[in-house]
Amino acid sequence: MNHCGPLQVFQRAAVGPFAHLNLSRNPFGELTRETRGELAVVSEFQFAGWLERLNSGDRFALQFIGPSGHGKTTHLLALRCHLARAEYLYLPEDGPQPRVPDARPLLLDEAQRLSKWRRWRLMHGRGPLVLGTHADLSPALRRYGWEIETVMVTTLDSAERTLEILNRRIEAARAGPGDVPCLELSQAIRLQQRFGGDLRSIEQFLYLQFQQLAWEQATWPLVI
Amino acid sequence: MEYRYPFKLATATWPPTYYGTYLSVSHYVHVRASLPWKFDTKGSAEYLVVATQAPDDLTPTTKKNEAGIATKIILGTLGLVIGIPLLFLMSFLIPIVLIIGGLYWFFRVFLPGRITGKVECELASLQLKPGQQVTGSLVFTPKKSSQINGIIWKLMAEEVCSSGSGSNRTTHRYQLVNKVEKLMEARQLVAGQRVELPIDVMLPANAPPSLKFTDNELTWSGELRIDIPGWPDFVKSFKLVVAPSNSSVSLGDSTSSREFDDFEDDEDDEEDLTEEARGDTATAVANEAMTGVSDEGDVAQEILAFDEVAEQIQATQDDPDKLMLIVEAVQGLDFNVRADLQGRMYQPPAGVSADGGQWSLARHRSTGLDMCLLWPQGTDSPRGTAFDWEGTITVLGYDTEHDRVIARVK
Repeated sequence: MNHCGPLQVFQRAAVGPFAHLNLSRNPFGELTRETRGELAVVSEFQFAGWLERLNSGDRFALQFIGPSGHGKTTHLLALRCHLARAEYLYLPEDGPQPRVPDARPLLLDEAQRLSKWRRWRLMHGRGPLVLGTHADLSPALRRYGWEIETVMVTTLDSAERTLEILNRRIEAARAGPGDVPCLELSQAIRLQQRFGGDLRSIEQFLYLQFQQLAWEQATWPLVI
Repeated sequence: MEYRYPFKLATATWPPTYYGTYLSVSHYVHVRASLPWKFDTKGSAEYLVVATQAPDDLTPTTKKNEAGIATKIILGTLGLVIGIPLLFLMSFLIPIVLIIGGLYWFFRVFLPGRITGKVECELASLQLKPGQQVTGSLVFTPKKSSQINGIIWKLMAEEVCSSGSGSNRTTHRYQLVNKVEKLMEARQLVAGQRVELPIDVMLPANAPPSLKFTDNELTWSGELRIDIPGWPDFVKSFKLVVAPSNSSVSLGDSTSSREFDDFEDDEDDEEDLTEEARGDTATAVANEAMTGVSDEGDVAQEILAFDEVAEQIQATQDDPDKLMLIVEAVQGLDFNVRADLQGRMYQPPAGVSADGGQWSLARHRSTGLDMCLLWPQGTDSPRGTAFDWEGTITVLGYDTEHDRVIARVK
């Protein structure tokens, strides 16, 4: 329980183009990796299970599979927030691949891009590993004696979860006490009908919608 | 029980607050109450920063840029070691590169040159300020008599922002300004007859400054085009740098330290600002104070008239009856003012109807008096902050709740 009341920095007037929505910025702008991890919406039950296994299993690999924009990276970043010694590594599509660190647990994003040699070394090494990948790496991992849990991120798509993710983003941009815009389930369903489970596309769409709200002085609710 | 802790902080001098479509720059004060054995309580508030001078290269310090010389030497050496053998191996590419380069030269330089002859086109300065004239000259002597559709100057400003990385990397572009001006109408060029054309076009008064960050930038550019019908045009592009406007400013008026002056004693404002934050601005202010001369003498006379009103309003802020007498006396009168526009207001001031234009929050330059300015529909209203805006206002009333003058821009 927090014994301190709300802490405010007093201003003469709220500033910025989103002040009329009680927001300090566009809620769907680019976030730092740290903030993305903090705002991730994950099932607490599942999450606790993953953390337990990652903290105990040396040859354990948790892989998140799915197409772009469905939350693989966000899951990795959320796990990083709870794994004190974990290191996150993103493998770029082009250019030289960065050195794979020795730290464990290792959170490896776009793991399908590992070169054969690096993959071989990784699988001969120790764990635990958390992999974000477009291709299923479990057959190879199993061959080298790894225990694997695979999470298909597309199965996590639901309108309720999408709604929670989007409203959490809006809440994180809150400027001060009072109401902030809030999306409704019907809007989340319409967004899913339009973009499927591609959260990145939904967020890009909402970014432009909020920009429009700011520049045109339009008021909430958003027409989707 | 409520506790209040007054504080003062020096602001950064760069970058200024900017609200764009893909690119926004905001400055915040974040506070945290550190509670032993409990979750810390946090709060934050945004404040506006109006810059008075841009860094020389418009490149804020980043890790990438700091790496500078060492990285360049390593990359240069690698380039030589790998590049030269690669050049031999890929020698079949050289003719293709030469052909592409040759075609570019042929269509962009040689063919227009057959009509226009050698074109000399220069701008007096590539570093500009909002509202400043872009000056230069265009001189050429046509080789052939021919018709042109005109000579066109195009001014462009664009936000270029990249997000994601690798295959997910996306570049977003938003054009802020795309202003086309015809410097010369369609006419017949006569072979051997020299054409001299002065370039004299104005940058918008509310032009946002050029910004450059690691993945995001706001760029300004100009393009001069001799439009030749049925023939490749002569085109010359200029990369422009727009610096923040007028540097003759009081730092206290323009920066965030004022945003929190509910807690402040104005007399010691200057003492509490660090040397770093003062920067060149302080020098500019000192120079103006010592000479006592303003660049725009006549304008200053008119501003004094509103200065007196503003001073009277400030002096009577604790005496509502006197204050309202002054406001009633000046209601409906026009004044020339200079103010810093601090951003759009999305709600009109209390007691004012919501329709009929766009509202901006402004601060009177010489007194620091806050104002709510209404830009009627159809006027060229600013999109965000603007520094040292000058114009005529009609006083409409006074917002007693927030101590600010309500006025309409003419």
